[in-house]
Amino acid sequence: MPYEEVCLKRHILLMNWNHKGYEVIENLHSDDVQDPRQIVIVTDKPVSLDPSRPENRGVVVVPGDPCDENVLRMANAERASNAILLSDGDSESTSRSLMMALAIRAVSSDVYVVVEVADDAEKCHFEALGNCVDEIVCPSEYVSRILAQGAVYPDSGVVELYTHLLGQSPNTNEIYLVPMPEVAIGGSFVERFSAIREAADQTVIPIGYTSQADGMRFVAIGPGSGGRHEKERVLQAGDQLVLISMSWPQFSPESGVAT
Amino acid sequence: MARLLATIRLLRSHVAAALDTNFQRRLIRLLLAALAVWSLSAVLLYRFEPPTPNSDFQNLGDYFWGVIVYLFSGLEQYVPRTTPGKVVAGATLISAAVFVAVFTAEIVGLVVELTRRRGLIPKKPHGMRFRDHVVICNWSASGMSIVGQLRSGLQVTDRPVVVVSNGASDISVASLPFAARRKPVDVWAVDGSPGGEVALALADAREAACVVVLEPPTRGGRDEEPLVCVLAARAQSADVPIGVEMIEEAERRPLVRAGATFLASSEDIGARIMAQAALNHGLSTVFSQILANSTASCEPYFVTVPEGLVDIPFSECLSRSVMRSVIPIGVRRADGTLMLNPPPQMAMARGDCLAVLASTESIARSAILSVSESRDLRSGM
Repeated sequence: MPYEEVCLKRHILLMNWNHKGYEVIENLHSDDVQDPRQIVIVTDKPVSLDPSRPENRGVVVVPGDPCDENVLRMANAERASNAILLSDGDSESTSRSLMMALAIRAVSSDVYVVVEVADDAEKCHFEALGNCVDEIVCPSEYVSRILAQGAVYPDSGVVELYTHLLGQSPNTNEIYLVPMPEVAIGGSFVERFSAIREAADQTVIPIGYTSQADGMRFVAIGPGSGGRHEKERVLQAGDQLVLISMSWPQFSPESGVAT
Repeated sequence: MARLLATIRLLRSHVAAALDTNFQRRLIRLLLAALAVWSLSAVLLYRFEPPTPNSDFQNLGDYFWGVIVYLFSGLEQYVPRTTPGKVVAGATLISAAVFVAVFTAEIVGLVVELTRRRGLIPKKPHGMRFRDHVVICNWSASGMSIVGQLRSGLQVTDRPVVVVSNGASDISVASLPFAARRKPVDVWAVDGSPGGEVALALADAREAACVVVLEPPTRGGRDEEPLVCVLAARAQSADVPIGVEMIEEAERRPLVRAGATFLASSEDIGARIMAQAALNHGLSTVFSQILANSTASCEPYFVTVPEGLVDIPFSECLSRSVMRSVIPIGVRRADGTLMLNPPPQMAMARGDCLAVLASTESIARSAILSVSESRDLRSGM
């Protein structure tokens, strides 16, 4: 599909291209994604997508340098909802990703930028960019943690458990971060645990929440995490609930839950 | 007390590691030579310098003592009178000088080596045997992270770690994560190619609880190395679980064929997390929290279903566990099938394992045991 003819809005930009791109597209266009978005790949590398595969439908390629603001404007970056910056993993990839982050932020201040870094030590460069980057993902960091847990419990299936949780597919459960249901507001996580489960339209397991304290957002996983203060913390509107579910959960209207 | 004994055992192992086999062999050879010189000199003196009245030499013991005096203070006492006796005494003095020089050189060498190795992880001595440890093949930033996780102290069993890599003995303790440095470092080095059977045998890979194969930091022309490592580790033992870090998903099939038990690829995991983060903003932080082995957060542990929970619905166990600061998130059936977020009424069976989110393994176990011992567990059904 020629990109000039596509009306791009609230789409996801995939900046740069490598092998991970196929898997990213597969996850973004999985059947259980509630609101699948159009994907626009901005790259100066050749991209070959199999058009017969359902996840590749509606994927547009804008050829050009993803560090070039003009190319990003051609991809309607100012109206994009998300941008995923892929890393080549070589020595020059950090500077290239930094340039991509600066370019996308120059075009749009609203787009949510997720950047891949090859090495944990390089995170600091992106943190120094301030609000140019919203989330920094270092795959090798996650892999080493998964391998460590696999090494401690080699036959337990812990690696399989993570593979299930991390992926987006209609046949597996995933972790979701949803606005705090009203049924949970005003009580502690433990007190509201059963009520949250009953209010959901499907079987869910709440596993924690995120909240704001001293201007910083923090994540509390499990009822035993944090100190006594965190365990007894009263959940508030504006907090987010972390839960395990087969798909994006809906909560019953009588519970007044935001969905 | 047990902790103290473990620390003493560990320190003894470190000293044994410093006194490597070659040094011990040289030292023993040197001491045997000194013993031979001492005995021979004493016997020859006895032969050429017979005991006489008013001399220092009265019995055989005096000859042995006399040689010791030659060795440490020269010819101040026990001075021989006969020419052959003087020749023997002279030869003893020369050999003493040689012995002291060689012995000093050995000790200086040991001190230099100990100083050089200060701050580096110790080499695993040949005679030291490990069981149920973790062997890490190749060394990279991932290795540091794995050691930090393994030595976090949250698991019931703290396993020793043996790193097999070219240049493993040059790994600095300071480069290991903080968690690993808080206590005596139970991390050992085996220098050698992790694709070679000699190095893996020295690392006792056959007896290991798990072998983890990492991607080498540079892959120029060495793309096959993880595969070679897996084959070498599998040659050591058909049973040892082997975990492999992959860069590309395309490597999965050959690695599984070679004998890898579990695999994690940065391509796969990275793509999943990036996609999830784009769809559900903030999720990468949640994943980091779950994957981090830290007392400040919860991570999954597997606990065998106690007898008291057999035939109990999962939801019943879930609601009672939350009160005890743990959250069961799934069940691994006896046949190995993993069921995350199972149907609420699914009854647990004998041989099942609960996947439980808890801050430590011991908390997970004690909480589930406590749930199973609840008096009203079956009456509430």
